Amino acid sequence: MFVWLEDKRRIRRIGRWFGWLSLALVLLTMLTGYGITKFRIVDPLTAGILGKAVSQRWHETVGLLVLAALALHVGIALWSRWRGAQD
Amino acid sequence: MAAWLVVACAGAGSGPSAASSGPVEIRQYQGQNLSAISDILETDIAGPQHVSLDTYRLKVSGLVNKPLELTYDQVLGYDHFSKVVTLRCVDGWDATILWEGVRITDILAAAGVRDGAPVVIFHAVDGYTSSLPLAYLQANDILLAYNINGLTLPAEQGFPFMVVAESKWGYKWVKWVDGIELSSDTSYRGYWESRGYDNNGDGSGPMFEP
Repeated sequence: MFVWLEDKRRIRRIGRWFGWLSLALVLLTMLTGYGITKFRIVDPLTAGILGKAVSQRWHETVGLLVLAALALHVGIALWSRWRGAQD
Repeated sequence: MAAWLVVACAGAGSGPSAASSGPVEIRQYQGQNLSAISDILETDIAGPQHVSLDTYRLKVSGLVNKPLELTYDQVLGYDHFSKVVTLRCVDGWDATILWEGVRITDILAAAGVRDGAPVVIFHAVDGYTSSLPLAYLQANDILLAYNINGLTLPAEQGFPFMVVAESKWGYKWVKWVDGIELSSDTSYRGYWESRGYDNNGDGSGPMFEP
């Protein structure tokens, strides 16, 4: 029983990390989106790191990562509740 | 992509065609619906440029027999052509527009292209550059447009001249053109091309350099 609780906490913690990761990726999606359309502002603001082309490449990839992280965050939370209800 | 037609207007030196004489923007052309000029979004490297025709010259330089410096009116002296071409931007929007202009190859013919100049580099007033293969310009009758949907190009859309690089991504459509340079440098990369975008810029091809 004690071991199961330890695992449950760890799993919930992982679920929370995916939540924060989702938030960070959403913010990155927004930033890269602005990097495409408002490159005259974002490019110098990020010291040239987020130029238009780099923003566009990242924007396409980050969108998928957001969905994956969000799915894991929600999935783990639901699974954790379901396991808790079973206990 | 490039549903187009070419209408040769009256010969060199003629005035604008009937399609361009009205002050009202054309929104339908030969049964085809056109986008509004305002559908073309502003994505330029330094914002809209305001060019004075008093000082404006279109310079044709590089590997040519006779470098040219043409005034706006002199450019308009070449034969006029019209095409409906869709401009597609890498940002995700597009606009189908009636373009009227002169053939770039007609200007190049007047300058006399030397052998070994496969690359045509376009320079803009704001420092923007992009290049296109000479063979592409010849094969597709690419226009240097001065009219858009029957109206003179607004400053926001590249007045006095804009390259209508049909079937290419929007970054190949150079606005505010003030220089055409013939070059042998096949490794030349323009403004966006040197920042990661594909040098061919084919609308059906990859957007980025591999």
